[in-house]
Amino acid sequence: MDTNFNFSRFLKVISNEWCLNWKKVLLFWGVVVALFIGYFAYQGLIQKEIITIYSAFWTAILTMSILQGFYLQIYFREFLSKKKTTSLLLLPASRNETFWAKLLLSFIPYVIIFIMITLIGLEWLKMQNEWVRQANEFDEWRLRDFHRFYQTFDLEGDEFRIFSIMFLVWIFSASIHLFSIVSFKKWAAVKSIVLIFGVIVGASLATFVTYFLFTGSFPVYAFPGERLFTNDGGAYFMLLYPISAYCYGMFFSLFLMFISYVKYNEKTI
Amino acid sequence: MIAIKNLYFTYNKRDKLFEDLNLTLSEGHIYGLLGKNGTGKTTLLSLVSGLLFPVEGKIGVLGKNPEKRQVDFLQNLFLVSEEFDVPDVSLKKYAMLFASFYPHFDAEQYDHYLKEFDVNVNTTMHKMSMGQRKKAYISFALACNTRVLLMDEPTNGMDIPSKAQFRKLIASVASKNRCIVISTHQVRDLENLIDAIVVLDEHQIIFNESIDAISEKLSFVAYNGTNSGTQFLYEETAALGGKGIAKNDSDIPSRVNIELLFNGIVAEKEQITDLFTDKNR
Repeated sequence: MDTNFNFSRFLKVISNEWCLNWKKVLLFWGVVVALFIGYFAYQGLIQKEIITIYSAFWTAILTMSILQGFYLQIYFREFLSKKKTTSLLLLPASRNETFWAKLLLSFIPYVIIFIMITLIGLEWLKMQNEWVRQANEFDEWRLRDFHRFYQTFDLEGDEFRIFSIMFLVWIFSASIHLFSIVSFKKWAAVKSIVLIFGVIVGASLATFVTYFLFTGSFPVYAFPGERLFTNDGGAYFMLLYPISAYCYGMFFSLFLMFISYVKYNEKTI
Repeated sequence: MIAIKNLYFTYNKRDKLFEDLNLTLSEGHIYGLLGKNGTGKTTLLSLVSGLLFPVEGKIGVLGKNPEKRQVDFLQNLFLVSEEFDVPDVSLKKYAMLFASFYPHFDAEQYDHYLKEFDVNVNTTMHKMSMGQRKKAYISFALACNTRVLLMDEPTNGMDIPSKAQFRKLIASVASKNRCIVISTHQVRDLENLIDAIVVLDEHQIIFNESIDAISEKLSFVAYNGTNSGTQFLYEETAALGGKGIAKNDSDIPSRVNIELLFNGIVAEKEQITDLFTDKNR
């Protein structure tokens, strides 16, 4: 057990990784936070547009998941150069220790920044939107839209949903990027994009099939994310569809993560 | 200490690099691994350290399989590769970050080696010249006190005084339970340092002998003008004279000219290696 995983050595690996990368990490996430604040401030204070919490949440999620790939490269950068791969593979620490240390270090700042952006950032957005609403006259659809956001995402009652989505997005993004880093040497970006589409299509198909097996009909969208017409009046859709989509997303991500781990262990220069 | 049996290795299906390669290296020696460009010296060191995996055959280092990269194996092996990663930290910080992974690391030795190489411990590695970085890295490698120390072109980028210092330090760290392998094409840097020569050519180890055995069996002769009748196994001539390898028929060991020996082995492999076969011992 000590050969495969030793906690004090694991802490040493974490401390090393942090000491060698903290400047890059802070710079990276500093730029990300600044961009978000800048974007929201521009929308609210200059364009005088109300920013929907719903759209802000998904903007944060999508941007973070894309950036997560670049961020992972700070920790798994070794595989981008032979010199770095050599020093990683020869470090007297087990493969478990180095792999999990890197993954943990890529996850923690993601969670912190995500919390900052979603909870603090969106609370700030509410205030900003209120100023914008009071200072301007909006037409009716905007006001209706504005109220709907609060109903769509009540941050005080929806923590579980938000963090479930956050974790799924992280593991999905991390697994795709990790798999690409350890597997693709040439055309990495193109292959990664194909892989992303492959996983999304795979998970969607599996979700559709699961839905069909349970209900005997396929779900039909009226328009994305809003409502669909089904034989059961939406009851199955509201429960079965998101749960199975979540489970398949997790399954595909964990599967890719597992393959990445195996490939990481067998990595040569 | 290092045992390679029937090794077959190739980077692609067409060009084999090693075929049925066998090699045994024992502790208490400093081996010079010599070979022409592209014969696979670096690859062999990478295979021994577990950075590459053999296609066929077995490699054992300290009784372990390098492919598994077990922690206790890595704690006892250090590879000074020709090009290595240089983090943006001072040498002091570098030691602080990495030394704790090596149970036999000696901080005093590290300071001593850096001093010998005239490298400042507080300098950031990014700000150093290639030669300085190499000296710092070698100092760290020596201070780790690993049982197996592999060095790939360690003197590349070093100035002449540093090369002399390198030889001195390596000689000082050689011990009974340590095996040091130095791969280089700058054979003169190994003069008076190594006690065994391993030559890699044509996918195999074609020569693996101690300096003592070589100096007993061969004599290295230099002459001015023309050869006065010495029968050479291998000869190199120049405008003002020449030099050659002859059979040593006297009881006095000769002084080994590594560069000449290497050229001789590559050019006249059978003539020279036959002298070291069992029937001629």
